Amino acid sequence: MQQISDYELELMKVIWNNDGSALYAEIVSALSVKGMNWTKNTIITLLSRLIDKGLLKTNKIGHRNRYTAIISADEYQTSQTEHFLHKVYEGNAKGLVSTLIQKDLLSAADYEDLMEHWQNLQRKSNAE
Amino acid sequence: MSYFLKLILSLSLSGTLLVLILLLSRPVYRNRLSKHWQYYIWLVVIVRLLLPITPETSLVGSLIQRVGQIHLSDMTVIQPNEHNSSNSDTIADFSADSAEEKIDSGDIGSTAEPNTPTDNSLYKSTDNSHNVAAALFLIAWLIVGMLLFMRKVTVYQSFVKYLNAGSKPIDDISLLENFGQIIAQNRIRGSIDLYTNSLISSPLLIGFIHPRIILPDADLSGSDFYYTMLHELVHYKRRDMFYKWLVQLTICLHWFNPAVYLMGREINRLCELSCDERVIKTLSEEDRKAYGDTLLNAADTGGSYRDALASVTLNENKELLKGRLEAIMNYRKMTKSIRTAAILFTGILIGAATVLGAYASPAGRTASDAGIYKNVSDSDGNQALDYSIQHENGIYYVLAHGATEADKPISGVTSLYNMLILVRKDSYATFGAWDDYDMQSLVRHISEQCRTRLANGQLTQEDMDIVIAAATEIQQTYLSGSGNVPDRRTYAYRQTASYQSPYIILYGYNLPSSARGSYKNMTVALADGLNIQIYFSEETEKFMSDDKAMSAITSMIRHRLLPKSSSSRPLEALFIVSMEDVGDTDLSSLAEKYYKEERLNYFCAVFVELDSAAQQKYLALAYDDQNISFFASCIDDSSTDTVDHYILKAYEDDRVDFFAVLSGVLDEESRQQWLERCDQDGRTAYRYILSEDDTEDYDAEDNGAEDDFYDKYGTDDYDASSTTNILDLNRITYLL
Repeated sequence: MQQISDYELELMKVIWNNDGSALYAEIVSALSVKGMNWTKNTIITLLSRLIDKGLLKTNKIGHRNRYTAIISADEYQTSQTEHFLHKVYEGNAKGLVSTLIQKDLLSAADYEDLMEHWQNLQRKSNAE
Repeated sequence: MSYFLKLILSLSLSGTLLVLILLLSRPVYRNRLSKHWQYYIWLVVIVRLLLPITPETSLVGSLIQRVGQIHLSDMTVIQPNEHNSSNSDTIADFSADSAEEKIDSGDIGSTAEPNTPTDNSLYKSTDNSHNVAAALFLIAWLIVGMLLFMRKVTVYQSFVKYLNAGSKPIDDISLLENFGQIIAQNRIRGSIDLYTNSLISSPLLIGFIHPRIILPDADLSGSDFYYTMLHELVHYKRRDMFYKWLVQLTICLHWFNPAVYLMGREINRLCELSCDERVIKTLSEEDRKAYGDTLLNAADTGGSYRDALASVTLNENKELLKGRLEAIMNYRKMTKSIRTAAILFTGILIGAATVLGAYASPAGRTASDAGIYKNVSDSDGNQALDYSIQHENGIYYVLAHGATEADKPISGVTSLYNMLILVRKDSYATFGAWDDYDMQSLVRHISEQCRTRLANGQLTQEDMDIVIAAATEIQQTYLSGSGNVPDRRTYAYRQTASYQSPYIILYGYNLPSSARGSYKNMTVALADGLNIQIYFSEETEKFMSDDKAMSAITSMIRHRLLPKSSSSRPLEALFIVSMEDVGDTDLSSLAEKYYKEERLNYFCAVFVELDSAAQQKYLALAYDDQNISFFASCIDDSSTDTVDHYILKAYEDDRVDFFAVLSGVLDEESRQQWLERCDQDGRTAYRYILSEDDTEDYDAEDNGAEDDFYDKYGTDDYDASSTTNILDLNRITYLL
């Protein structure tokens, strides 16, 4: 997946929050709620860049374009994490997790949750 | 082939002259008229170079034509086995020759052939060799033009590819927003993307569908960025990309013409100058200087890719930059008088472009030059009808709807009659026939036929207009003296059939003297010392020595023909077309036979001998069978009651064709009654059929002709309906 700029990500978030698809007008109002009163050219330009990068597609509804996300927020996060993991930790997930724990980026409660989730997964695979 | 070559050359020549006019008069307008005007005035030249539209006579058109003639005469000298004929005066415009050759077969005669080729073989051989050369030139021209254009397109594509590879989208939101605001200010619809590319030397605008501005780098000062954007957005707004490609196309098509390259350079220069002008128009003196600074700063930026073909760059070279800076400093607003001058100059140039013209299609020209008529407006004068008339062996071919020589039907008609054949692209319709004596009533005669067919749906209104216009023309040409009006006392050839037991004789009288030589004949003495010459067709020659047959013929003449002849209507030159011995077969079964076999002449001969009950039976039969030609022949001798009965029936059954036939035999009183009735019922088609007899103005001055017309068609045992005449005569001519 191609990397996208911060502003492009802002637009993606707006669309994801709108059930994965939005009209131009909806995007404009959602952005202004966040305090980003961009000009039309900027928004359209960023949207078409996202289309070029394969994250969005458009369908014409009358004269208006509906922008639909091709990639969900989850998929995006996964691919970005993988990207990060490979780039920074050379694929070593343990290193990433230990950094998260050591620097208190992961709370004890979060850790417990994860452990439980992990054990559940193991039990399942043993049963099979 | 040579036509296309001439067209291209003439377009190029015309365009070149305009280029020269514009370039040479540049000192006059350069600092006076706006750069905007100077930029767009070239469109006139481009239109002249590309569009093969020309007025009928144009300077370049006739020049090319003359050059063509000289060129041809040169070629005749080169030809090895030619004789001494390099005389260009006798050689016709060779591209028009094929059309002329076709037409010279027979003109009606009022218009003269413009030039007569002296030696046909010479004429053709030079033409062929010329055509081959022309074809080669044409192919060479096309290939070079196409290759050039293809090269331009591929170069452009690779340039775009190169740009895209090195371009990075500008992610700086403040720059994007800055740009977005400029776009909003300039009221530009659609969006434009912004990129940087370190490989280019100056900002440029590229892309037809997804336009984008590419900057050499993003580190522009606020004002530089602003002015750069303003400049590029003017390019975008004016769609300069399209203009540039139009110029490129023109250059490729006229690749052999150095003038178009000069034009291309000039347009490129003016594109930037007028763009600058548009930008500074709204700026203050101060800001103009800042804009000039931007241009200078942009020139400093280094770049490596020089080919900026057909993309819109801010900066081309130093020379141009100097001119642009000067223009910015010298900028003045257009005053009213300058604006008037600009309009005037535009008018002059468009006028020049029109007058210069191009080489016109010879096909369009030959029609008016080469001895055929064309473009006669109809009686109302509000519509030009497009047709041409050719006269061959008594047949007037009216070529309409783009029909050509090749569409003419093959006809075996003799010259006894004139006929009018409307030739369309894939079909034809026959009108007539008439002989020269009928010329005076031709228009009326043809009009009647047209109306009947129009009412039947066999003819469109447009075709009817064409046929009537053509007939009017033929009649006028004939009567204006170019044709030989036959002696009025000489009666026209007529043909009919009679029953003279035990024969049915199909005969004609007043056989034209031109036709007499080809038939065997004998002189028969009649009572009162009257002699008559009788001619026999090949089929009937054998009866010359047959006493029984000869006595039948003589008694037919005595009893049927002589009573009708008079001093004013002499009977002469009887022509026996065919004879059939029917033995003692009774009349009613003969009638039945001929009706079935659709032998109208024979049927008519028998019909008049039948009792009225039998006649009524056949009328009813013909009506029910919709056999209009038989019906028309039969109704002629019927009683008024019968006519009244059928006309009412036709009216109620909505059988307009029968109504038309019947209206011809109505007496005046009934006709008036029917006119009123049609008015009341609002049935205009029927009203039209009836009222045509009101319009007798066209040959009102010639009542004699009118009477004769009815004499012939009304009383000579001959069918009253003109429709039948055609069918009948077609059959006769076939027999002959």
